[in-house]
Amino acid sequence: MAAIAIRGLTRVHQAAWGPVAALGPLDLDIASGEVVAVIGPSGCGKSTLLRLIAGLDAPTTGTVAFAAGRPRIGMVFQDNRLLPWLDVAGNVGLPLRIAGVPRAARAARARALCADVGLAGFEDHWPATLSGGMAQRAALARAFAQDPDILLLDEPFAALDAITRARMNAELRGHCRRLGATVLLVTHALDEAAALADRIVVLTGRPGQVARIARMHKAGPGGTSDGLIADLARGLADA
Amino acid sequence: MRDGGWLLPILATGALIALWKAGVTLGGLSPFVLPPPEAVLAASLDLLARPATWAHLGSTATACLAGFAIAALVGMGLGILLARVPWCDRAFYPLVVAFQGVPKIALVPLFILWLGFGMATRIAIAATIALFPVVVATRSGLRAAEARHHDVLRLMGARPGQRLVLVDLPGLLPHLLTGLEIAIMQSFAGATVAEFLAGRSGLGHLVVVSLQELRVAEAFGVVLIQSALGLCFYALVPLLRRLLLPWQAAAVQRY
Ligand SMILES: Nc1ncnc2c1ncn2[C@@H]1O[C@H](COP(=O)(O)OP(=O)(O)O)[C@@H](O)[C@H]1O
Ligand SMILES: [Mg+2]
Repeated sequence: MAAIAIRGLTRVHQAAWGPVAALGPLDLDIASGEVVAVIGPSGCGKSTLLRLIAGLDAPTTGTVAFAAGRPRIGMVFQDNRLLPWLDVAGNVGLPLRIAGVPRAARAARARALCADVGLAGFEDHWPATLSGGMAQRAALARAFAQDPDILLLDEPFAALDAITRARMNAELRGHCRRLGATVLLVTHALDEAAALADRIVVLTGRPGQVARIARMHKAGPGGTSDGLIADLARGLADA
Repeated sequence: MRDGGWLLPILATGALIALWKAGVTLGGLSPFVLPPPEAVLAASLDLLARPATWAHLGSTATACLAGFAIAALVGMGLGILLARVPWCDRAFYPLVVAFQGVPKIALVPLFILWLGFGMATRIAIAATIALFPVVVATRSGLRAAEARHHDVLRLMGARPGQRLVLVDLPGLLPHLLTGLEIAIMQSFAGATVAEFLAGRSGLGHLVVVSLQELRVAEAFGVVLIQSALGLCFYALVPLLRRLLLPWQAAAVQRY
């Protein structure tokens, strides 16, 4: 059974000017341990999709079912959403604090998680003093602290400069492999999607529906072919 | 203090005092209109040497701080009520806004009627004036609690109590401190006005008495002491801010 089974999912937002059909109907199965990238024009409901999976928003119709019953879900947003009044270690250890892990064990785990994402030595910094890339590393570490079965990434590096983004993407690939979690990555960048994902789901314009799905073949050096990316880009333009 | 440190403000203050002195001597102003600066300084030093002055100062500080404390407690309570109970907000927030428009000083005669000429009247006036900044700051601070931060905690399975402690209260604090900053100065102003009108003690009362007896330099001396006291009150909240909000100081440093 799929780790995430999405059936007939729609979401209509109530905006001030009336109902906005943001998403769907959408059907999608995501296998356990799979890394799926979701791309699509802005406003097509990608964030809405992730929020529905995370349970932060309720579907208008349809269902999201999990193989694991109640999986642990970690999420990283485009803005880091660190709590400004907790230092880096406090933010990274927040899921543990909420779960009632004792202070000492929490601190040790937070330190280890910071080290994992390249934040060693920044444990006692305030979020406001971090660069954009550093803050996103902390947000990633916080999501990892939940020991997530499912990791939802909503354009996590979109606000970063190109060089930092490339580096973070390379690191993210390592993290995904290490965690073995099921990963859903929303991104604008096709090359990013192609480099990270097992499958790329292309959504249509609002309300987002599946326009096409491309399976990446990572066998051999180089992995993906530029032809496929160009093909996908065309598909995106048509969608 | 960057860019020249304390030098520039000290120079500017000196220049203003020199201008004052020049106005009095060259402009030929009567000392009953504007006493020269050295007379004012001498008068305030003289005042500070008298125990009676300290009693007046204590009386003013008591009215101001008691009024402030009441305003802070009641204001936070009302602010939480408005922010958390929607029908209360709909029913009473328009009243709160309308009451902002009332010149609270105009209520002084009423308070005298109800509470007499004692300390109770002065505390009540100080509290009334200081109340609304606290109500408004608490209400908006709680309402501003960011959905994006709540999302993060809900994702982690946080209970409402945990979200209150980890998101709502820390998020409220900066707003609240801004409200308290306004409140303490309003409270001081309220206490002073009450002393003018309804006082038998307090620095405001001392100003009135000095002027009635035509000791103008002394009246100015009292104003100087009042200013010093006001500055102490004013310094209180930034101190609290630095203590309670180290993460904000960090944010300022960065930019
Ligand atoms: N809470 C909301 N209320 C009203 N409209 C919303 C809300 N959230 C999203 N929308 C609208 O739904 C559409 C999809 O939004 P979103 O999922 O954020 O798109 P994407 O992440 O793909 O850019 C947009 O038109 C957006 O304006
Ligand atoms: Mg989005």
